[in-house]
Parts: sequence; C-alpha cells; structure tokens
Amino acid sequence: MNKMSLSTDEKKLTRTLFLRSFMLEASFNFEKMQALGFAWAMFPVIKKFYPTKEEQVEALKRHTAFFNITPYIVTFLLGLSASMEKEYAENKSIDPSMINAVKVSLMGPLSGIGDSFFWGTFRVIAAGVGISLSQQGNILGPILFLLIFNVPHLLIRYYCSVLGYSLGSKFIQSSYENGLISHMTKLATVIGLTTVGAMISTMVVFQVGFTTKIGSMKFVLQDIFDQIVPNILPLSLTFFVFWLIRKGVKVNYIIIGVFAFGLLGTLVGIL
Amino acid sequence: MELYQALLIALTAAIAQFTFNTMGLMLNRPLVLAPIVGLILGDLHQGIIMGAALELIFLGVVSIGGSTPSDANMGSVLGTAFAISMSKGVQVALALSVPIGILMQMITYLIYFFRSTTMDRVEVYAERGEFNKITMLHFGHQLLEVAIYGILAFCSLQFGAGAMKNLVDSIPEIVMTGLDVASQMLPAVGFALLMNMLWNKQLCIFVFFGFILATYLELPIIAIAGIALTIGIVMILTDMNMKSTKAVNQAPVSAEEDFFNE
Repeated sequence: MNKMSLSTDEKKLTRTLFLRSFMLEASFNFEKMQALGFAWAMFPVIKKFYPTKEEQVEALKRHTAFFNITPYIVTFLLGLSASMEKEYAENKSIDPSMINAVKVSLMGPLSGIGDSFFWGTFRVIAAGVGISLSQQGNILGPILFLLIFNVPHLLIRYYCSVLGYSLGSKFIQSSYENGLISHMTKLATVIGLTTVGAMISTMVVFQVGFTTKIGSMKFVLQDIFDQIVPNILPLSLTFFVFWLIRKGVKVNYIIIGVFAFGLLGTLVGIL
Repeated sequence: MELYQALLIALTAAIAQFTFNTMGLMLNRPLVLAPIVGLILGDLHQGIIMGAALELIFLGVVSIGGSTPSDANMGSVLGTAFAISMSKGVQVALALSVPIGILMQMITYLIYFFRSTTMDRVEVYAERGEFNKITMLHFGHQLLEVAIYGILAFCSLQFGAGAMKNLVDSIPEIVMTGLDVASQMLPAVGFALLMNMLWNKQLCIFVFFGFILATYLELPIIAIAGIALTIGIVMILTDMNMKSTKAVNQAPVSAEEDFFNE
C-alpha cells in the first residue's frame, strides 16, 4: 500500500473534508439525494486545485451529480475524490470521467459495509447497553448510548478522509482483488446478526396468558413454551415479521397489525 | 404545560432534527430525547424510562437510501411530552408516538419532494460556477426543514394538548393494557427490519447463535458482540487461507470468481 504520511497542507485539507462532511444530508432529496452536500464539501478542493473558472465549472458539474452513501463513511470518498482531482489537475494523467465512475462504483459496496457496521452493529450494541440501563431509570443509559456509538463513529469518519486521500484510486483495484470489501461486509454481518439474535431474546416480550384446568391439573400454556425453548415466541414473531417484510408487506401495515393483534389478544384474554 | 416548556421542547425537536440531518450523532434518538423532554417537564426519571421503551420500538427505523417508515424524533418528543404532561405512563407515550412518527415521516417526504423540484437550478448554478448560490440552496433547504419541524412541534404541544388529553382519557383501561402488550411486541418489527438489512443466507445461523447466548447463558450484549467479533475474524482468516491454497492449486481467475459469489 501507499505511504500514509501527508504534508501539513494535505492534513489541513483532509480535516476540512472531515468537518464539511457533517453537512452531507442538509439538502437531502429524492432526485439527487446527497449531491449538494458532497459538492459543498468538495468546494475547497475544487478552488484549491483549479485556478481557472472553466476548470472549476467542470469539477463542480462532476460533483453535483447524484450521490448517496452511508453518511458516516462519506469522508473516504471525499478524500479519494480529492486525491483524484489533484492527480488530474497536476498531471492530467487520469481521465476526469473516471472520478465520477469511481464514486458511483464505490457508493454501493461502501454503503453495504457502512450500513452493516453503523446501523447494524455499533447502533444495536450502543442501544442494547443504553436501553438496559435506561429501563432501570439510570441516566447513564443515554450517555453510554451516545459514547458507544460516537467514539467509533468520529474516529472512523476522520480516518476515512485521511485513508481515502492517501490511498488514492489504486487502492480500489487492490481492495477488490484481495477481497477486503467482502471481508469487512462479512465481519459486520456476523456481529450484526448475532447481536440482533441476542436482543430478540432479551427485548421482545411476547407471552400468552392462556390457562385452563384439565381435571385437577392447572394448565398454563406459557409454562409449556418456557420448558421447550424460553423466548421461542418472540423469536417466532420476529421471523414472522421478517417473512412479511421479505414478502413486500409495508412496514407501517405490520406495525398496525401488531398493535391490533396485541389489543384484540388482550381483549379476548389470550395474551 | 407552560408556554416556555412547549417552546423548549419544540427547540429540542428542531435542534435534534438539525443534528440528525447533518452530524448524525444519534442525538435524535428516543433514548436521548425522551430524558431531555422529561427534564424540561420536571420528570427526568420517567423520561429515561420512556426513552428505553420508545428506543426499542424505533430501533429498526433506519434511514437507508432515504426510505424510513417512521420519524423517531417527532414521535418520541411529542409522545413523551404528552404522556408526562398528562401524568400518564409509558403505554400512552408509545401509543401516541407511533402514529405521530408515521405522520411526520409523510411531511418529511413532502419536504424531500419539494427539494427535488429545485435541483434543476443546481445544474444552472454549476454551469455558471456560482459556488455561493449552491451553498445558499444547500443550507436554505436545511433551515426550512428545521423551521417547519420546530413550528409543528410547538403548535402540536400548544394547541393539541387539550384534544390529546380528551382522547387519552376516553380510552378504557383494558385497551391501555392491550396497548402495553402490543408495544412490548413491537420491537420484533425493528429487529426484523435489521435482520432484513443484514440478511445473508449463509450467515443467518448467527441469529440463532446470538439468541442462544442471550437466552441460556444470559451474557450481556458487549460479551456477545465480542464473541461474534472473534468468530468473524476466525472465519475471515480461514477464508484467506483457503483462497491462498486455491490460488496455488488452480487458475486464480476461477478461485476469485468463487470468492465473490458469496
């Protein structure tokens, strides 16, 4: 891999990219999604590397095109785009259309990693810790939630800008070849699915209240379930909902359905 | 609810929305917002507990590619504010926050739609190299959304509280119990959404793995994540070893194709 040492000037540039990345979704919309946010973050890069108005306009058009990624790791593509703009401005050694091609081709795979790590892993773990403390009324709940999520978030966001800038576009080729992207996705998926499985057991409450008498024996349905597999009902419910989502049922209908089921079940006395 | 409390709560919602759109620091989550609302209304403890219950429901609500089923911020702020100010429990907060969140999400979609109609201007500005106008449009859109958000929150609190109280008071006890039961089942939707996002046929066994670790061994979540991390790394190392042996034994092209097909 390339050397990671940046000059003072370049360090300043990556820090600017890091800070400007926070505004990525300020004008999020259906047509161009985060395009304006990306372009706005690239302004200093464009002004720095291109002295003439014509060149600036060309670069501006490149970066106001449709763009969408997990916001937390956008700094990687900002850094990478900055290094490619620099390469083009100084040596004209790359085709400028490649800059957008690289951006577009990386949005999907990077979002795959970003979504799994940030939404599926960090947030679930942080929320898991936070919820269990908050349930006891402990103020540490929200505080730990924010810390567990944001410490890795801010570190990754910052170092991605340095990494993207210093690795350059050659990195993409090699990371596909040595499978880095698929390894990261796999790791995030394993951790994410495991923690989700654990939280289904601890945080979904679904019990049946059905009891009857058979002769002199009291029959409690929930006890039978607890003897087979405790929490089997929450697990089954979650997989049933999952199956509905896969079938394409709208999430809001499912939420309404669960509400109706809980209400009716209670009224009838089976829950 | 006093006027200054309604103002403070609306301000909280607006600031949270700003940080959600921009910084992504998770300050817009129920776990954080409900305690703040509780603090403003003088019942921090109840706010913290409501935050936990609401977070469970909104846990699966993530924004991926711009599609979100429900707005966690407005739902939890108004749900908590109404419930605490009426001295009602968690189930009222839950029952109110879900419909409010869905309604707010529709309004947000309208805002996204409106923004889309201004995007042709961006091409004109880019063509002329007008950096400042792009900046103004970018931030103007954000300002507008945050303003709409704050104003809606304030109006709902100031003018909707009476109607909301009548509505909640008219709900019979058994229905409240039912709402409670339903709201404890609702996190299943969140976890199903997360599973859907992470789904991988070869790796789905890990859902059961995590379930077993939590159900029978009762390990805390950090320990379970640590075990999963270890196993994940071992799996990757095994993959890499297999790949290098394959690369030696056969043509590298086919080995690589195999690898990316997973």
